[in-house]
Amino acid sequence: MTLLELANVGKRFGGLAAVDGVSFSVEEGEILGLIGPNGAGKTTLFNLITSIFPPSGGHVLFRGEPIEGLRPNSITRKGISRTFQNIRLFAQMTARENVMVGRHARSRAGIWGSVLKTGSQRAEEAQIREKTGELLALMGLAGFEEFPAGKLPYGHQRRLEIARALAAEPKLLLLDEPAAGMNESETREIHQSILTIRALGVTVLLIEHDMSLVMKVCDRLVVLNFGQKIAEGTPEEIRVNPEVVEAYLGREEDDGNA
Amino acid sequence: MPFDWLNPYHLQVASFLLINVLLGVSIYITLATGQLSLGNAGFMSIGAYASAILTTLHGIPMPVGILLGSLLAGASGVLVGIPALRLRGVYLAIATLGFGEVVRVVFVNWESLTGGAVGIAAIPQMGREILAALGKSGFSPGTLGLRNNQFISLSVFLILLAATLLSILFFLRLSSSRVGRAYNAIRMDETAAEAAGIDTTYYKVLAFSQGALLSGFAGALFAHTTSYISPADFTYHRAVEILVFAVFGGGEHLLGPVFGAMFLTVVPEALRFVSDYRYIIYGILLVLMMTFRPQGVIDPPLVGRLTRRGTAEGPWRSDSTR
Amino acid sequence: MFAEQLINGITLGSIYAIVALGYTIVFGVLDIINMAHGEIFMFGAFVGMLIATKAHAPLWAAFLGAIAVTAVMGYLLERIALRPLRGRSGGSALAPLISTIGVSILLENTAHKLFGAGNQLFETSFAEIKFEVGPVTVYLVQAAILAIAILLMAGLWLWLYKTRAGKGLRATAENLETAGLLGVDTTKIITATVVVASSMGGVAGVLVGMAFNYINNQMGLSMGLKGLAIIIFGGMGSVAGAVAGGILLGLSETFVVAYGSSGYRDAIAFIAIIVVLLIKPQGLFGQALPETRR
Repeated sequence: MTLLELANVGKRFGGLAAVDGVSFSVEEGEILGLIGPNGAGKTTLFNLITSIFPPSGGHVLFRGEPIEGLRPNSITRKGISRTFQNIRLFAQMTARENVMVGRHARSRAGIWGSVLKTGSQRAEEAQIREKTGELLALMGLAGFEEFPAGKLPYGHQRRLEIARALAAEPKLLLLDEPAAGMNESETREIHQSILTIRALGVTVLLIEHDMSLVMKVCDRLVVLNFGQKIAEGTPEEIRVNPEVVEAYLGREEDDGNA
Repeated sequence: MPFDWLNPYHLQVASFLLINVLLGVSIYITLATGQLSLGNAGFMSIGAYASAILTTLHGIPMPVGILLGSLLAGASGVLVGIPALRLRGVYLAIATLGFGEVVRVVFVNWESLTGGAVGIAAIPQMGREILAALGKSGFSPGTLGLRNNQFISLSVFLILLAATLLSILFFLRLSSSRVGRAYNAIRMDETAAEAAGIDTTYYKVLAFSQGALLSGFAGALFAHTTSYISPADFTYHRAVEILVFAVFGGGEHLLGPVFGAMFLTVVPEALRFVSDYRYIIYGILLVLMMTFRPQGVIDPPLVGRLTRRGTAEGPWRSDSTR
Repeated sequence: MFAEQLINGITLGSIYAIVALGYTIVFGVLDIINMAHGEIFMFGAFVGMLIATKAHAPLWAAFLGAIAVTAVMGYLLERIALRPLRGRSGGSALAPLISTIGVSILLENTAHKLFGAGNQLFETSFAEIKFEVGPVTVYLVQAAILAIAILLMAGLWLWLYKTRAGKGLRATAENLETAGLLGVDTTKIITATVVVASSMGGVAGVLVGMAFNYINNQMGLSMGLKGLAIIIFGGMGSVAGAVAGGILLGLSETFVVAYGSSGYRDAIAFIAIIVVLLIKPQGLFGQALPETRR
């Protein structure tokens, strides 16, 4: 079943088209990689999907329903979660608290429940704590629950952001360069985590520059360059696609421009 | 008389201290979502005037007047909070300051409603009302060993104490709950909070209205403590004073403005010199705090240290991240 | 009559414009709103009063004195309340604002201690001189205020656009880091900007004394908020906006008092702040507000 569909999505900033007529879909259960040189528009696409800003044109459909006008928190509620390219954790909160915030959309306690500490609120808090403990353990952060997030080692921070995103029980998880700045063993752990996440029933859309990770973990790839989709296919097909190679390595002849 | 040491003047100071604590908490609530509102003097005046007018002109019972005054202030908070969503940081602070001033100018000029610059007098006073009500059933403060004025001041103090403690408890409970986590997340990174599924619009407006309601509540209580209010009680100076409670006391923990309000109410009383130069000292305090300790005296790590006394240190040190 | 109200409005407006210019150049360079600006203006008025009225010295001496004192105040403000806060990583933009609020209440209450509450007379020797231009009566004071205001604005324009220091200021306003990299002594520029802005406030203070003949220690607060309204309306950091907004406010207030209710005169500025911030937060001439990362 098609989980996410982008139909001719575009975004202009002033005169610049950061994303231009991009169409592709994400099938349920797959791990789709979104790749392309820096500045190709990948993170902009993530921002469009999660409605950080509206598209200049085109539609984004999630489970058949258009979502481009919705507020970001509604999109999270509908089942899309994300991480950010430059980690955006709540640095002064503990790891556990970060994940508890992630659980916001799946809990309901309001003012009065919280102040009066009703039975249902206390039960919900206990359930939130339990769930966050599970997620932290899942992402290899057991033992770090009470660390302030800003003091965690870099790799742990990236995994914490993923744990927070998972707390919202997404059907689709958008990962923006989860392996950035990681060494080989950390990258292998991320690889494992992504597979585990898929095994839990979460579809993954992944932006990543680490080509070895991308080739190993993704079922399919979509390649962007200068805001446009230039190729789509399996890793093997993309690896030998001349346009993709050219996009990454530049033209053979010197055409005078960068 | 056994309670000769109970000084009505001291009780009155303590009563104003409690009102200041409520005001300090009111600015903290909105600040908890990252919104600095300098308009709480305006919301305070709305609560004060509403209750004063309802009780003096329309004979509404005092508790109802206080309730309605607070709710009206809270509703104004929603009206201000929604457009305030478009504004950030400095712009929001100034807009709310402007709001507070507009409210004051309106109250000064709308003489038929508010009495203008002259204000409203003979507002039912909490202590006196209680004394009168109890007097009807034959009770006299002498039976408790108190003079009338002691009884009046003591009743007011106790009512305010209950109101303040309940309010603090309310917001302490709130801050360690799902709502409090939402507030903190919004303050730390609104985009990330929104992406995590938090309806930032709802919570920011909610925080605004809570702050306004609490200010209005403090205002109504103020009116029924002093028995006389005028626009001069709700000027820019009041707004700055509230700001100083939070800035000096601490803007990152609920107990910060509580401490700030208490400290800055007591010290001018104890030291006449400080009282004479109160606002000059406030000014210096603001500059010094911003330079040396912008988070205020009471910050979360300090609260952690104070409450962790006697237990083993965690695996990490709570040093300042500043 | 209408023409006289018009002159009143423009005179008042040009004083407002000078105050607003002080705010706007500081905002342009430092990205902060100096909440103490109004109080510095008030001190300028009092110094001018002490020199012109109490010491019976000539008006130019009053101007010089006001400029000197307010320039020093501006320097101290920058040095003590602003510079230590600069370059602090992750510092909220609110810290300088709060710091200048602190300075403003410090100044306001110091003035209260020094000069007392209540109005003080600001007498100039030629307060009564007026001349007829057709059916219209114009006071010499008004003409002097207008002339000085125009000179000041022209001087500022020349400084900003024709001198090296002025260009440095505009570069710094554009981008602090880049200006520094290009060899502009940004520290000096920032200090100079605050000093110039404060002196302009001082001049405006003397002009207000000349215009109204009465000054008091509350005028800083009121002028401060109005100056804010003007730059918010005209666009923070915009010189044209400050001038246009100032004149407009002067005219609006004058006509509201002349033909409407004087009690609400002060509310115009505050309402303007709120309305502008809601409809077009960047003001008439300003650029779009940056998306702040929260």
